[in-house]
Parts: sequence; structure tokens; C-alpha cells
Amino acid sequence: MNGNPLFVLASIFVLVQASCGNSGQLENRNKNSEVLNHQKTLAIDDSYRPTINVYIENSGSMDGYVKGVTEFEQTLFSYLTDIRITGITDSLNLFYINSIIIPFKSDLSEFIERLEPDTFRARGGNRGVTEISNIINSVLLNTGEKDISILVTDGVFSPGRDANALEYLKNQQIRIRDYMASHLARNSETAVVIYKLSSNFNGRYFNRYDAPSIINESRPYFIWVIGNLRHINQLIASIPDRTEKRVENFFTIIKGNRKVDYAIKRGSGNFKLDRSNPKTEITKLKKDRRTGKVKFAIDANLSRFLLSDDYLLDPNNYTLNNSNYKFSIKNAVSNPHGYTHTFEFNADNVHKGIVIIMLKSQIPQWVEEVNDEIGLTAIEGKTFGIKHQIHGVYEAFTFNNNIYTDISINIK
Amino acid sequence: MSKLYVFGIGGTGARVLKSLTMLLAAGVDCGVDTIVPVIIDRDMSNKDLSRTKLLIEDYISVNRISVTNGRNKFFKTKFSLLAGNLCLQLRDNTQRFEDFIGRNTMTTENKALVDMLFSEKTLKLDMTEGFQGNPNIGSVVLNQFENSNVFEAFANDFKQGDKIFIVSSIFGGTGASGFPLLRKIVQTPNVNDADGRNLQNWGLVNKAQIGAISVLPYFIVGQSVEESQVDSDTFIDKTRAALSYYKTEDKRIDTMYYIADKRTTTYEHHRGGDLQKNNAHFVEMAAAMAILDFVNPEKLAENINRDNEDRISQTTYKEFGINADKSEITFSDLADETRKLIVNPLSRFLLFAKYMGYTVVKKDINGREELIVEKINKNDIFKKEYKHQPYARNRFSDGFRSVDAIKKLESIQIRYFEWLLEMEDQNRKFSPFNLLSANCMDFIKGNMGSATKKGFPYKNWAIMDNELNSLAPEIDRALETENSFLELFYRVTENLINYKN
Amino acid sequence: MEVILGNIYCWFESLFGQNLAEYLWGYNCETQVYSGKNLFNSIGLITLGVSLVFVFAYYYLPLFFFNHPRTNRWWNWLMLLFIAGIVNFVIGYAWTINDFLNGNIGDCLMYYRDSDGNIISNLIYKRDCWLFGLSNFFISSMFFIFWSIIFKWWSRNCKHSPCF
Repeated sequence: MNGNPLFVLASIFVLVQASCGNSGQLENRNKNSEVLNHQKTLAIDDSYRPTINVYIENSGSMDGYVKGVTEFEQTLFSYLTDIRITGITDSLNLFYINSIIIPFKSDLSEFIERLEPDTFRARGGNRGVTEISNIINSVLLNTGEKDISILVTDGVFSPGRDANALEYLKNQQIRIRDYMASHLARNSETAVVIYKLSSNFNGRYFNRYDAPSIINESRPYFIWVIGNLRHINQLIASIPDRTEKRVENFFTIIKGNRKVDYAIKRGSGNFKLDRSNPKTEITKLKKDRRTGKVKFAIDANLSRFLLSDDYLLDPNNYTLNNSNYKFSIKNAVSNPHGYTHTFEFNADNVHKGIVIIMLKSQIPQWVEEVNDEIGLTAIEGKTFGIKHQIHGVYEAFTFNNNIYTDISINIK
Repeated sequence: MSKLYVFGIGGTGARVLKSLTMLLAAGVDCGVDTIVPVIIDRDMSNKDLSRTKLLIEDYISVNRISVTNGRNKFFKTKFSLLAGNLCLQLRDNTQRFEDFIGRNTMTTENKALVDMLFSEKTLKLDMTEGFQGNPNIGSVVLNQFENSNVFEAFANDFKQGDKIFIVSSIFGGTGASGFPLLRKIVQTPNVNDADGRNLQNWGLVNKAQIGAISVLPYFIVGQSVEESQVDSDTFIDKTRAALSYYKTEDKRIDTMYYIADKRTTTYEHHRGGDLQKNNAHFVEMAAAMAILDFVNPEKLAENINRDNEDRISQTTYKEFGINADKSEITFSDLADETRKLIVNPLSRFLLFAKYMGYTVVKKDINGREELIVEKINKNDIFKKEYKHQPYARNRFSDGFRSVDAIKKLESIQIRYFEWLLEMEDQNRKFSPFNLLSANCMDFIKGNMGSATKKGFPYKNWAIMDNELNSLAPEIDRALETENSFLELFYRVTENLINYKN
Repeated sequence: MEVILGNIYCWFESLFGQNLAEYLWGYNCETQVYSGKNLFNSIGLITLGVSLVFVFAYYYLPLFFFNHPRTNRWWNWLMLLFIAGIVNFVIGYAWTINDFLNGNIGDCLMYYRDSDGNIISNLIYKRDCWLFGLSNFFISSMFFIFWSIIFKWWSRNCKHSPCF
């Protein structure tokens, strides 16, 4: 929650950045241009021009991010400038947020680029203890159907001197879940994207007891993007590639139980498509003449989930109901139907019946790794309690189930 | 179930009966159900006689399969033999005439009388060979009729309504004298049988309707090769003599038919026996038509004239004529009435025979080109088609033609062809058909085109096969195979050939 | 019911290929469903009709050599089966080659393209149209036999041709 200058954000939040727990390591990944293409196919829909509200937390813990020229400032300035340039919105509104929301009427450069701790301080509000759940709630309450809210925060919890930290964290998680759920009830199409970046931080770091220490090192910070899935998609699609790829990890979530466009891939095995349901049913499945194995493939369009390619290519993120078959996923070859990925199934023998593969919503591994559960000192690359924020959001979205979509085919 | 007893006397009688058999085989309408033929002849080895006997026996076999309760007319009229016999044999078989009359056992006075009445030659005559043109001998000898057991059978068989017809020639030996004698016996009351007993139904016989035909000269006998007393030049004289004798028959016969032909053919001169085989002549066929005329129910009023006591009040005299005196007669030369009677049956039966493969071909025999009747494989449409056509499939299969009745039918068909061929080979030709034709529909000469069905779009024999296939389903399934065969072919030929005046 | 004809044609699918078969089933490349016309039904009905016409003519038409006592041999019937087969062969070939050349067949069935959209190989060839014609010949013969079995029984002259 104590601020530091934000850095210019590379426009590679286009999903493909950070790995999402493939091997459990923090990775700076270069974007995958193929996935970028998928996003670029989403046209900007002129009938919906969202309003974009940007909230920068300006509590005391944020000062270190804005001292001097920081990556925090540069990244954010670049990002917000790009948003303005895309023309995706007519109204880009700027706010500072702590216990209250403070609108800022001047230009972007003033808003972020030329910030210094004293000017930061001067923006006002109660810069003392701020509960993250409250900040999130404030932002949510101000996010209507046509709004995109961008919240920039250090994500550090401050339970305070007297509090039981563990209880506090759990409590916060529940609140965040609660606020998120209420918001979801009003706006079921809400999508949440949480980017983790890093910036040089020169200033006071407050630990869980609120005890400060002076540090001058790289510290993580988080950009939350909340809004209608459609607008989020537009936003991501329109932000251009930037050579400075600053996003290190990200987490996205939308409500599950969605339908996606999928079809059995013609010619992917020795079978006939069912005449009445050629996309989802096959008949006369037999062993492949050459290999002697049974195989078939399904193409699907998984582009609307805001998930990275790494996430989608990881079999661990899927559940298959039929243990007779093994599967793997790869990117789909270029096709006019918009399919992004292909599931390939194989088995030794033919097994008839329904095969369902479910894409799960899971919290990526990096969240665990970036999380600091102790919070006594500033640990490099970690944030105290960040996991609970993200879990809270996750739990709100996956209240009923954590299945994004299921792809079901029938082998007759 | 009325019958007609036809007594054919001598060679002519046998040949006329043969023509009658052919006509009835072809299905000419007959006013009675049954014909009972009786051939009276002394000369049992006469070839005409044996031909006719064989023919009638075969006819009787085929007649059994002609019963169809359908439309079939081929062989429809029954033939029935008295006591299984066709020929009325004379009991005595003494060789020579003088032995027969018992000259040698006569008194000297009687012997002298006999010697006066009969010439030496006549007395020495071998009677097994007929009476060789001597009617005077015949009349004596034939008084032997009443002592025959065939007569017994005749008497027992005779029913009310049955009729009698006598066929004889006015020339020649056996026939000339036999006719009035026979007529007398038939009308003599209380005739006894061989054992001297009174014949039962003789009263019916006495009163029966009776007709007769006298066939006047229609052929000349050629120069004698062997010893023979037959001499054509005396024919006319003999005719005159006999005709006067017949005057006494007036009012004893219901209907009297005459037929003759001034245009004559010369036959080979044979005394009789195996070699006396005269070819069929149109006159014989016309004589047979007289028989049919006699029993024609439509002609009853003109033929029969009886008084209240059923005695003949008047004899009707009839002669046969044709439209024009041509040496070659076709159907168009015949009178309407004749045509109505015979055009359809003769044509239909001929068509039937042709279908079965029979035809006339020219063959080289002993250096001479002759016409003979044969079954030609190429023309045997039945044989070629029976495996393929629906009408024959599962019905007339292999071995069908080996069935006895069918074999007999086909043998009659050959003889029918031969009969037609013989009638063409006379001075007065009867050749209404082009017998050499292998064609289905154009074998009838003259303007008979209206008689035959066009048959479009089928040609030639396909017309007949088409008709066979078409009518086969209509044939009663309950019929025996052979019966249905006749019924089918009758119907088909009836459809294809239908001459109307 | 409406897939009966198609299923019959697909007995010969190994002749004319699965891709042409998919086209004839009415596979639409854009929507990936069988929303197009089931051409097996169209061609099949024509083949059924043509063979019926020939069968009917052979057994019943009172013209030329049809329903004729001299053409009721089994090999006459066979000749007609052959002729009907040829006619249907031509129909089958013409229909498919026409669609083939006019670009009526969807791209995804015609070509196998790489990710840049270049054609790697053809999936349907002209010879598949010939082979479809050939299949139609066989199917026409089957239909011919079928109609013969049904209709021959009332034929005046050809009832026993052939004798099944």
C-alpha cells in the first residue's frame, strides 16, 4: 500500500506474459505472437465506449514508488497514454485512492509522471492505514457496467500492531470474496485481471506491524483491471506491443460455465462425423490404419477467457472425465473458424461414450511464490498477503464451480 | 350327347372320313358331339383304310386332352369306335367270287345261271382286293352285312336323336353298291343279329335321320400297270347305271348330297392293296363338309322334312359349288358359307402346326425335286422358345413333347400338313395356303388380310409368342398340362386369325 | 430415412474418397455442419428413377424391343442393366465434375492448406468424379436388380427374365 513510482507498462499484458505455474517458476516470458493474433481479431465495438477510471493508491507505503524517476511512473505513464491514444474511451478519469477516492483533474503527466512523494502526499485523503479490502470495495462499487477500473496498489496488507496477522489475512480474504461476490451479482460479466510488476522502490517499507524500514530496492506492485469482459478484451486488444515488457506475472478470472465454439477436427482420426451433430458426435471410430491406435482431435476457441497460452497449453488445467483416453493440447493451425487450440486424444482401443474435457480456473503457481505469509521484512519479489487478495477474488468467482467451460463430445 | 354314325364305304368313304377327321381336328363346328365312324370295306389292306384308321385312333387320343371347358375347338368333337373297331369286316373271307357264291356246290342249273350272269373273269375274281369296279358283284356280296357283330354294337349303341350318314362313291367297286344296300338294311325293321335274335334298338335306327353323299367321278385311273379290271372309260357309264338305281332312294333319305369334279386328276393305277393310296382331294373335303351340313342345327329345317308319323315326306337334294371354275382354288374362290365354315379352323390349326416346327420343304429324292412335310429345327418355334417364354415356363417343360397325347397331336399335325399338300398336288388344286412360307402371319393366300391380326409392334413369330404370353394367365390353372396346351393355342390362334365375312 | 441413399453410396466411399463424400452429404466448410443439400439424395433419386424407367420399359413398354418375346433372355436384361448403368455413370460423373470445376465444393474439402494458406495438396481430384460415376454405375445396377425383382412379375413377355 505504500507507493513507489510506477514504471511504464509494456503492452504485453496481452495474456502471454508471465508463466502461470507450468513449472512453478517466476518467468519473464516474451509474448507469443500467435496468441496476440487471437486478441487482435477482436474488433473494437463502437457501440460500447467504456469509461476508464484509474485509481492509484496513494497511502504512505506507496511513496517509495514515486521518488525520482521510477519504472513505476514510466510504465504507468506509458500505459495510460496508450489507453488514451487507442481512443477506446472518451473519458479517462484519474483518481487517487486511500480511505477515500480523490479525483484528479489535471493531465496524465501531472497524475503520474512527475509525481514525487510530497506531491503524492499533497493529493490528500487519509494516507494512514488503509484496508485493501476497502479499497477494492470502493473501486468495485464505482465500477458500473460500462466502466473499466484500473487500480494500482502495492498490495501489502497492514494488519497493525495489535492484530492477529493470520486472522487478519483470512478476514481480508473473506471480505474481498464478499465484496467481489456482491459485485458479481450485479455484473456477472465482470473480468478481473491482476498484473504483477516490479519497480525500483526508494523509501519506507511498512511491515505488518506498521514498523517502517528504509529500503532502496526493487519491489513488486500490482495493477488490477476490473470491468466487463468485453471491454477488458477490447482494452487488451487495442493496447500495442511495447518493447519494455514489464509484466512479470498475471492472474485473470471470469465467471465460468461458459460455452465455447468447438468442433471435432475432420480427418483427425479414423471415424465418421455424425450427420446431425457433426461438430460434437462421431460414429464408427476405429483404430488408425497406420499407427494401430485410436485417435481424434477437437478444435476449440478458448480466446475469450483472458488466459495465457501457457495456461491453456498446460494439461493440468484440465479435467477429463473419461480415463480411457489420454490427451494433449496444442495451438490450432490457422483456420477460418477462430479455433485457437486443438485437443488431441488417443487410446489403444475404441471406447464409446461421452468424453468431456473441462477447463478449470486455477490460481497460478506464481501467486504462491510471490506471497509472503510472514510480513516482517521486505522480501525481494514478494508481497505480504497478496495470495489472500487473489484467493478472495478467486473464491468469489468460483463459488459454484471452478469450471470455465466444458467441451463434450459423444463417441457413438 | 347326340351322335352321328358315318358309314364310309370303300376307298372314297375312307378318304372322306379322313378329311372329316382333319376338319374336326382343326376345330370346324359340328352339330353333334360325337362321330362314330364305320368304314365298310372288303379290302382290309387298302392303304387309305389303314391311314384313316391310324388317324382316327390318334385323334381319339388327342381328343381326351381337348376337354377344357374353355374355348378350345381343336379336336373338340369326339370320335367313338363301335366295339373298338373302325372297320366293318365282312364275315366271309373267301377268296374268289365263285367260291363265295358257292358255285361249286350249286346245282347244274344254278351253275348255268351264274355262268350266264357273270363273266368268267368276274367269277374268278379275287375278292380280297375289292370289287374292282363291278357293282353287280358288290350288291350280292354285301348282303352279308346283317350278320356282323359290329352291327350288333351299332344297334345297341344307337340312341334317340342319333343320326346316320353314308358316304360312298358312285363309281368304283365297293362304294357304288354298298350305299343303297346299307340304307335298306338300316331301314329294315326287325333285323336279327348273328345268333338270330332280334336287335333291340332297331326301331330307333329305322326312324333315325339319315343322309348320304354320293361322290361322283373326280379322278381318272391311269394306264394299267398290272392286271386290273378298273377302267376309267367305263366310269361314266357305270355312273349312269348306278344313278338310275338311286332313284329308288328318293324319300328314303332325308338329305342326299352329290359332288363331282369335271376337272380330274390321273391317279396311279393300282388294283388295291397296299399301293392303292390316292392323294387327298378337295372333293373329299367338300364331301366331308356335306356331313357337317347334314348335322348343322341351323339347317335342320331345310334338311329334314318329316310328316306327322315321322316318315320322310321329302328328300332334300344338295350339290356343292364354288364361286369360279378355277384350277387353283383359294379361299376367295369359295362361297361365303364355305368360308365361314373352314377359313378360321384350317388357318388356325395350320398356324398351330407351323409353330410346332412343321413345314413343307423341297427335297431332292431320287434325283427329283419333291415337296415333303418335315419338322425343321429352325422353324420349330416352340422348341426354341419354350425355355424362355413365360407361357411355357414351369408349364410345358422338357419332356412335354414326349407325352403320348402330344406326340399324337404332332403326328396329326404332320398329316394335316400332308393332307393340305396333297390337295395342292391335284389337277383341281386346293391351295389356300402358302405352305412353304416360314412366316407367321402371311401364309394365307388371297385377300384374307383382314383375317389376321396386325401384331404391331411385334413381328413374325414374336407376334404369336406375345399372344401366348398374354393369354397364358387366362387359362384355367386346374386344367391338366396337355389340356391347357390345347386351350392356350386355340385361344391364341383364335385371336390372331379371325376371319369374318 | 433420409440417410438411406447416402449410406448406400458410402459402401463405395473408398472409391471416390471421403472428401467428395462429405461434399455430397452437404458438409459446409464455414459452419462445419451438414447444412448443404444432401446430394446423395438428389443423385440417388435420379439414379433410382432412371433405373426404374429402364426396368419398367424392359418389362412393360410396348415399343421396339421392350417387353418383347425375343428379348426376354437373361442377357437382354443384363444389357439393359448395363445401359442404365452407363447412363447413371454419366449422370454421376457429370454432376460431380461440374461442381468440381465450378468451385462448388468447399475449400476445406478440396485442398489441404498450410498455416499460411498455401495449398499443400489436393484432397479431391478429377478422378474421384470418375470413380463416383463408377460407383453410381454399381449402385444403378443394384437398383436395377431391386426394381426388377419388384416389377417383373406382371410382365407379359419378360416375366422370367432373369429368373429370380
